[in-house]
Amino acid sequence: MNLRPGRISFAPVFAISIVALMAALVLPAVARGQTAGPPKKDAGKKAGPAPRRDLSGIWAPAKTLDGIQPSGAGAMPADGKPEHELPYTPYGLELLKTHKSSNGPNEVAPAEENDPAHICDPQGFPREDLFEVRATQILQTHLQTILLYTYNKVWRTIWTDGRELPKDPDPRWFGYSTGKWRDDYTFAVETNGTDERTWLDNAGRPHSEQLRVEEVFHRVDRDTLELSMTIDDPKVYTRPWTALDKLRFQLKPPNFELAEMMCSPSELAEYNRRHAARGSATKK
Amino acid sequence: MRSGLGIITLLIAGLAAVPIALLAHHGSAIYDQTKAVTVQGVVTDWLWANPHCLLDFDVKDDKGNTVHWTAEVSNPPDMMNRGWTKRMLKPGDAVTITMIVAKNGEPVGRIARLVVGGKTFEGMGRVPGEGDAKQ
Repeated sequence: MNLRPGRISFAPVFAISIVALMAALVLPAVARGQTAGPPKKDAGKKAGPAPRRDLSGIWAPAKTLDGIQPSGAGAMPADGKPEHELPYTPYGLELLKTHKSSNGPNEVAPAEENDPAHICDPQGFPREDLFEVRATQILQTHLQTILLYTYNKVWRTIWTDGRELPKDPDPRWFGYSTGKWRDDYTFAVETNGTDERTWLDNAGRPHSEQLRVEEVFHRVDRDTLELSMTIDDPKVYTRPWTALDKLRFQLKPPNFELAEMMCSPSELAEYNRRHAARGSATKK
Repeated sequence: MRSGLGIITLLIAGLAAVPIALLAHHGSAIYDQTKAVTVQGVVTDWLWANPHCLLDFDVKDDKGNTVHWTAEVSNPPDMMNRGWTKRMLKPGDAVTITMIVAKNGEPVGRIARLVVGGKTFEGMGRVPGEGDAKQ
């Protein structure tokens, strides 16, 4: 280059700018160990180690049906097997009889059911984990862990700022949740204050306002997360019971898009009119 | 309405007594899950919606009468995973449908398999006798 004093060649400046811009765009992603596309997993190789105290990412049940749990809580389905009978109190048993589910051993026809979620009421918590749990995005800040669920596009906030659960909360659909790290890979969540109009699961298992739920998220490795859940409601059950036992989730690529799956009252009415009512009609 | 079944292509695909695993909201209480029926029909409407997608179609019986059927599959995200789309069916399309049907004799069913335009799509649940339900 033969630059004359007082004149500037824009070619090298432009080239340097482009290189700097590309570096600015690419280096942060490299530093995070991410790429623009799905993470490449070498066939046959084990997943990398779990990052410390980090659940963030998009997680989907390793087996879809394990997340849907059509017959009730995955670890305790309502399948009529003695080992899956729940320890109801007399009050709990009476409450159960008022729930007419279209699933499980006592299933009724759609026209006879009274599942609140089937009129598009929020299914609430813990049913959000016990029915139709699908790809779920977990976000973390230093104060909260936030779960973005596919089903009905709802979210939960789990506070991690050290607060206690409310002592006498006003019930709400998804209750109140706090979380703590038990160790670098195990995050425990306590929930209370749930609305007793909701069902625990698709089989119509009931709960009261005394319900307390413990979730334990255990990150096994980079690509694997397990969720266990314990139900404790002394008004309805004589002892705590395990609703989920290491339900396994797999990490999805960072560009994975959650599906839209909403309960629409008008679509539901159309389904009931055109299909469910006809199929449930008294036999000719 | 059950008499309509005598005039359509009827296929007893199996006698499996094991209930078909459910894949979505509504149970299988209304269905006879022990056998499948295969019919040929013409689409009149395709509702891509929650909780379940619905296909309406007409089937001619051997007397020339038209029987109007409604059959469900699962919700849109599940069906997308099986290759179904909102635009894959339109009124006038010729279809071959294998389904379980309502116990009460109404022309209502749950589609286990659908063929349209020479392509086969797996539906909701399984054809009785053919193995495990698809996820």
